Amino acid sequence: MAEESASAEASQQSAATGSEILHVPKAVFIEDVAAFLEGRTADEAIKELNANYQNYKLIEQELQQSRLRLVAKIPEIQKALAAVEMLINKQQEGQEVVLDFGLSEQIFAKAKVKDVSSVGLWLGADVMLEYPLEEAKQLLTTNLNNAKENLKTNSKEVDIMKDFSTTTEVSIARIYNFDVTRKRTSKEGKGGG
Amino acid sequence: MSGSIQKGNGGPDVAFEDQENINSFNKLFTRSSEIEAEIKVKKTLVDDLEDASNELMLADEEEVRYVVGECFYHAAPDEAEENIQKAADEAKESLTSLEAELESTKAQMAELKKVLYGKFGNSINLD
Repeated sequence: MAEESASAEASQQSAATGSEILHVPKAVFIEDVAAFLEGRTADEAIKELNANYQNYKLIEQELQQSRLRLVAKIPEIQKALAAVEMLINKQQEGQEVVLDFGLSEQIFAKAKVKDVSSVGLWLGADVMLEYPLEEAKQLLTTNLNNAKENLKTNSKEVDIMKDFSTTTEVSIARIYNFDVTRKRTSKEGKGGG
Repeated sequence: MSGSIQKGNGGPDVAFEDQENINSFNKLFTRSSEIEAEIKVKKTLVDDLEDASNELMLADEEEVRYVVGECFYHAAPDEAEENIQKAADEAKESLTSLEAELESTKAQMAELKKVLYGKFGNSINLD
């Protein structure tokens, strides 16, 4: 009934390491385009920045995917938590609960539930472990908080990647524009002389 | 893609401060669409809960089925109403805070637009 989706361990790891896990060169703002192009052509510089840009976008996509996983996971944990809390309430009140539970997609059967003191939590990897109700509630609450925390970390990482890719994008446009202006000026210079 | 410097247009060069503004704008832009999506979901939830509450009042049953997890449990209408009310209050609260966040995000975006369009005019695209 109450299940806890897998991969909790995996997502905890990403929270621990924070933004340092983004093993990419930082996108540096170009103060002076002319100085930046010293010793190389605009095309070469753009090519290099483009490669960085692709990299940033790729990482951003991966982060967005883990974001989607987290976003889907949170309501699942909340659902499990609500079920455990219901059982705890009923147990405290000493009431019997009548449940309609799904036998298959369209078939529901009736069950009387009384004096339930534990639930099996699905830990993933085909493992289910029985927990006393209070412990199950605690575990699920911790997992819920972790998932929310991970979502925050993920948002920060996405923001960093966005900054990098936007900066790089602007840099490319600036180098391109600088090059066009330079070529035009030198042409005009030759025409005039 | 929002907030990009157009290629091939002259315009003043980008200072570090401008770059930071462009970056901020871009993030706000993404965040605002995220909030809008969240608001939509929450609104539906608030409406659904309201419908449920109304139906419950009209139903006049001794016992109703209340969804919990993947099951339905048989609850007294009072208990169901209490649960629905609690869920509705939570949903409304988060809807209010999301709406406030959206408003402040939009205000910041408008401010940045003013600054950036003021400096770069047509050579920047912020939509």
